Amino acid sequence: MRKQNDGQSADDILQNQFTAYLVTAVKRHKAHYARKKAQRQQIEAPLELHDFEPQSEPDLLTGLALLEQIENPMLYLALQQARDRERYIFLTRILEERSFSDLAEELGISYKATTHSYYRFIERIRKMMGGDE
Amino acid sequence: MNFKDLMLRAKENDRTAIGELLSMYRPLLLKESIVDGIFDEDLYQELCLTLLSCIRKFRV
Repeated sequence: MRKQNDGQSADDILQNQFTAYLVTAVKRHKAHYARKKAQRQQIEAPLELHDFEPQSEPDLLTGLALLEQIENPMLYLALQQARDRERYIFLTRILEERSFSDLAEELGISYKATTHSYYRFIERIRKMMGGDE
Repeated sequence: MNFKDLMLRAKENDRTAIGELLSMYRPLLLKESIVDGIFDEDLYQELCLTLLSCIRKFRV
């Protein structure tokens, strides 16, 4: 069994002296560490909080012609390769939200032909862009 | 083995003696490494180094 340190023998006194010495050193080092850490955080915090606030970056795309606004290369290619009528149906349908019957009437084709052209084109884009199916 | 011998051997870089002193004082170092209820590993490491330098500097 370990004997209790009663502070009587010379050995116990020595150990107590060392413990007291160590406790002081540890306390001081701890204070030093806390100071350093606070300093580090002071330096690091401003960088994290203030400098990277989301600044709304100017939208480079507005003001360009429609085809030049397209960022996906495959979509761009698909639109370029599309026939005029196809592209027209696709873009007016999506951007101006015109109905198929409206478009069919304007182009002088049947309702069915309009929807076919639209969905075929969508399918083609999906394939070119590597979507599922 | 009494404390004085242990200390003297540790001062001569006896690894087992140093290890014994380290395990003897580990509870103290662990207790001091807890800041605001959170154990700080880096601080614990630093305090272990403090113990080693104390062993070196302590005059028997």
